[in-house]
Amino acid sequence: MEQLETAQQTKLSPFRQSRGWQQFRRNRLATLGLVIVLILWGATLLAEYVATHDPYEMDLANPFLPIGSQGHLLGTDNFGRDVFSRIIWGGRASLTVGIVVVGISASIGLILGVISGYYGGWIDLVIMRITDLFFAFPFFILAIGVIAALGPGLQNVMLVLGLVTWPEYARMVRAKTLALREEPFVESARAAGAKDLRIMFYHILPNCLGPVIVMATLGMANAILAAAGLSFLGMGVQPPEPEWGSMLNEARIYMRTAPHLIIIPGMIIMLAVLGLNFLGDGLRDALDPKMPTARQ
Amino acid sequence: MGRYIVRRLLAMIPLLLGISFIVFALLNILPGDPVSIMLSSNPHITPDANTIAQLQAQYGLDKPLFTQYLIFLGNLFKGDMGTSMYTQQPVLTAIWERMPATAELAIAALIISVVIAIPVGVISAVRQYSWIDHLCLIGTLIGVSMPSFWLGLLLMLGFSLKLRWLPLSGMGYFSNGVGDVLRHLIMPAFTLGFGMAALLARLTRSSMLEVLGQDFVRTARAKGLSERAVIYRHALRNGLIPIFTVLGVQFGYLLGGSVIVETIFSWPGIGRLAVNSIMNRDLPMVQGTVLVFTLLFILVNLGVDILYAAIDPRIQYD
Repeated sequence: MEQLETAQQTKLSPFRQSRGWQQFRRNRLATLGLVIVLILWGATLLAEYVATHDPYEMDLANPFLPIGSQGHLLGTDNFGRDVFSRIIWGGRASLTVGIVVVGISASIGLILGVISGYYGGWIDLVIMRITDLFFAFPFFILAIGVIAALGPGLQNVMLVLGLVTWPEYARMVRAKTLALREEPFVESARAAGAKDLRIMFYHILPNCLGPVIVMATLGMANAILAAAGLSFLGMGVQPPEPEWGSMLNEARIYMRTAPHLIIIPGMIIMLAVLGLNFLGDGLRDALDPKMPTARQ
Repeated sequence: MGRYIVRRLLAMIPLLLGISFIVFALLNILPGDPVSIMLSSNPHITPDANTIAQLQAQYGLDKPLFTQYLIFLGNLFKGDMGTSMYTQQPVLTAIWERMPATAELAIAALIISVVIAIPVGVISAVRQYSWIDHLCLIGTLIGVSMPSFWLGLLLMLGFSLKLRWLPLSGMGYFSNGVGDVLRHLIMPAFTLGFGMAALLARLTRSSMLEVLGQDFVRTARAKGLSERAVIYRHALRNGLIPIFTVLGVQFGYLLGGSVIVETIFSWPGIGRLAVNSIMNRDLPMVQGTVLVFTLLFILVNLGVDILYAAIDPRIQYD
C-alpha cells in the first residue's frame, strides 16, 4: 500500500497535487472532519493516558452518577463504571473495525476489479456476476445472516462487513481499469516488455487511488456505523468489553433513570462517523474535480 | 416494453439461484453444526448422540451437501422454507404473518423521507452556495451519520418518556381507530426514514443542479415563465427521474434499517423476527427472513426499472 502511495505521488504533477490540497483546505467542513477524526482517534490510541479510570472497574456504591460528577467527567453507568473511560477505550473497537473492514474490502475489491477490467472476457463475466449477486442482497440483512451462522463477536463482525462490502470497490476499479487499459502510458509499458502483473499493480492501480481513498474514507464511516448497529443488536462486541454500540444497548433499560448513558455513546458514534463523512466529502471534491458535487 | 419485461424476468433466474445458494450455504457450509448449536442454546435439553442424529435426519442434514441443496431448492419452489427450530411453526407462515407490519413501516418511512428530501434538495439546488444550501449540506451529512438506533432512542426519550405524547413502543391497530395506528407509527417511521431522507436530499440536489443547467430550462425562462413554474413544472419533473431509479437501491437500506428500528420499537415485523431468530439460534427462520428480505429487494428493484422504462421515453430497451 505504501509503495502504491509513493508511486502515486511521483506520477502526479506538482500542479495537480497543490491544486487538490488547495481545494481541500478551502473546504472548511473537510478540515473540521479531519480535526474530529484526529482528536477522537488520537484519544483512543492514547487511551492509557487519556482515560481517567479502568473501564472495567465497578463501583456499585455509585451507579448512575450524572455528567460532571466529582471525579467522573461523564458520570457512571449501572455498575458505577466511569463512562468517559469506557467511551475512550470503546473507540478502539470502532477504530479497529473501520481499518480492518476497509482493509479487507478494498484489497479484495481492488484485486478482483483490476483483474476483471484488465483481462476482460470470461474472467470479467464471472467476477461481475459475483458482484451482481452481492448487490442483490440488502447489505445489512446479508451481514446479520452471516453473523447468525458464524456467531457474534468483533472478529466475525469485521470479517462479515469486509466480505460484504468489497463489490463496490471492484466495480469502480474495473470501470477505471477499462478506461486506463487503452491509455498510451499502458501501451508503452507493454511495449517496453512489462508483465501483466506489473502493468496492473504498478501502472493501473496507482491511478485508481484517488477514488479508492474517497470510497475507503466513506466506507470506514459506514463500517463503524454498521458495526455499532450490530453490537447494539447484541451481535458484535459482547459486554463487559467497552464498545459504543453495546454501551447503548446496555443502557437501554435504564433510559428513564439515566438518559445520559444513551445520549453520550450515540453522540460519539455520530461524531466519529460524521468526521469521516466530512473528510470523505472534502476529499472527493479535492481529488476528483469532475464530480458534480464540487463545492468551493 | 413487453419483451424487456420478459428479458428482465428471465435474467432473474440465475440471480435467484445464486441467492438461494448463498442463503443455503449460511446454514450448511459455514462452520458449526446447526443441530448442536440449537441444542446448546436450549438449557432444557441435554444433547446425546442419539437425539442429535435423530434431529439431523429430521432436517435432512445427514445427506450429501448437493442433495441437501436440491431438496432445499425443491421445497422453496413448493413455498416450503422449513419449520422453525424454536417454535415449530412453518417459516413461511411466521414471515407472512409479520409482512403487513413491515410493509406499513417501510411505506410510511418512504413517504416521510420523500416528503422531507425533495423540498430540501430542491431548495439547496436553486439557492446553490447560499447559507441555506450550506445548512442543508451539513444537515444531510448529520442525517447520514446519525445511527438510527440512537435517533430512535432519543425520540422515545423525548416524546414518550418526557412529553408523554406518544406510546413508547408497539404497533397500533385499525380496530382502535386511525389515530392509534398513526400515534404508534410516527416515531418508528421517522427513525427509519430520516437517514434515507438525507441521502435522497443530496441526490435531489445534484440531480436538480444538473437539470437547471440545461437548455430547456433556459428556454422556459426565456419565454417568460415564472421562476416557480420553471423549477417545479419543468426542472423538477426531469430532475426526479434519476432519483426515482435510486429509490430501489435505497429500499435495501430501508429493509436493513427495519431490523434495528423494529427491535427498538418492539414492532411486530420481519426485522424483529430476524433478530429474535438469530438470538434463538433458529437457523431455518434466519434463512427464511434473509431470503424474503432479499426477494423483496429484488422485486422492488425490478419494479423500479420497469417503471423507469415506462416513465422516461428516451430509454429504449429493445
